Amino acid sequence: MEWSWTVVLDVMPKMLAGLVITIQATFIGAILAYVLGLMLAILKMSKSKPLAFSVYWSSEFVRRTPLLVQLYFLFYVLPDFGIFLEPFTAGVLGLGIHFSTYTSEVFRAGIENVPKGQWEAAKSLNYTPYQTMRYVILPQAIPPMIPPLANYLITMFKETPLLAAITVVELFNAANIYSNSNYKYLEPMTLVGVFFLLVSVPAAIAANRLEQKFKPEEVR
Amino acid sequence: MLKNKFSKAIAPIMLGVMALTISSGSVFADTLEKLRKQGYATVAVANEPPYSDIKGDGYVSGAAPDVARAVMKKLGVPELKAKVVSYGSMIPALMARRVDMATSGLYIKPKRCESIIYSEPDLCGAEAFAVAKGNPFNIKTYEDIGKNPKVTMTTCAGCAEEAYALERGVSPDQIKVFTDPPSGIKMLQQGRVNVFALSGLGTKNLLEKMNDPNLELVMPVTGVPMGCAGAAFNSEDTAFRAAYDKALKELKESGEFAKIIEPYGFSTAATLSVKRDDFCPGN
Repeated sequence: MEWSWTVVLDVMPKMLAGLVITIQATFIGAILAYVLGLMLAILKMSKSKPLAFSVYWSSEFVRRTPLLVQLYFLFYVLPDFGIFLEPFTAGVLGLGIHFSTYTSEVFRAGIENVPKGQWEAAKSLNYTPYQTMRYVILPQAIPPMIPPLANYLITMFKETPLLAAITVVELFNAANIYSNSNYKYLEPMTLVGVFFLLVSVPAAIAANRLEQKFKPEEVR
Repeated sequence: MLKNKFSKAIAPIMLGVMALTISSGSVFADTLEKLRKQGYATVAVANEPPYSDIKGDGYVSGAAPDVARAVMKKLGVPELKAKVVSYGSMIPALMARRVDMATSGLYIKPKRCESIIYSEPDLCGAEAFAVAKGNPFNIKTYEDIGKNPKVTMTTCAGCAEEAYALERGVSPDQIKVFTDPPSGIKMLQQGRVNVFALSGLGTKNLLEKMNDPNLELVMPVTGVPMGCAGAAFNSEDTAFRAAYDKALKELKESGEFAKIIEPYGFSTAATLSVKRDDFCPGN
């Protein structure tokens, strides 16, 4: 096995195009995961027992089944029910929905960690549920959630190669298609690793900084 | 002192690595001898009936493995164990010796011959497309796909059909590679692609299994050569290949060969009319 720079040059443009798709899928998926996750968290804490129960169990169902299976379902099964999704859309939806079940736990823990007295104070001020959330609870609950949410972003980034299974040509698939046609694995797969590291190491450092910044204050 | 400790710790590991390298070197010296001793050969198949077909209980059949099994029996290796490998990964698998042979209708192509060696041809067949009923885009050849940029096709990554398409003016953007042939048909049914391209008998077999009245077979695809496949070996296994060729020749002459492949729909006459040198001189 000899390292060939010609192969590197040959595969590079395809992989850069793939990297763009990977990053797009990560960010759109993450936004979806955050928005859906917050909604799930609030619904899970709903006073209506049947609602909270059913939301809890459906999110457990998604969380306890593999993302790969869910992607196949979205891509190959939903069209049989008349729902036709483009590969990228299906991939982003899959990522977003799957990780929303994780982020919802972060949101739920964050909200539950706001001291009870704050809820009571909001109540005594006659705030509506919306106002309570918007002005009292979330501003206190969100900062400690940021580090774990950032970590999920990195995890999602690393899960994007699964989208290759539903024909999305992201970073890994771009390299894989090249490898399959040219029988060269050393350079493309090494580059996949390097690209992932180049993004995820700085991202991990940034997440670490966030963690330092939002470290809960000493209990007084 | 520190250095000493370090070398003490590393020495057994180094020895182990060296022992492994040496032993693996000698094992590969004569592949056929090794296979006779262990009693089976590990073969790569793509699970594309009728070329290769893995039954529910794991038994590998299909025309290519059946021929290989008959040949290997003559050579004193009674059993085949199959590994499902995509066409694109077969050559790397052979080069890395993850499998002893590839017996799956891997077409003999000059570019592949640079990396691996083939037996004499064992299966030949025409190419086919699957399209929607009535062939709305009137696709008869790869050139027809190239001419109409709106048309998309699916085939396997790194297989002959992908190369045929690219050589005949189909743009890479028009090709969406499938993960396995049934998923490719599914993509066609769902309208994600307009054309499914694969070997003639493979496509025919899939369409028969799917039995979808909305799909139609275009066969043969004109303008592409007949694809001929052989068993594929690691390029160092020339002695093994020579023994295989000899046994395959006996099989062909005894008429047993025709009995194996014809029930699968392959033509013996077509296969006997070609030689490996027609595709890869000097391979």
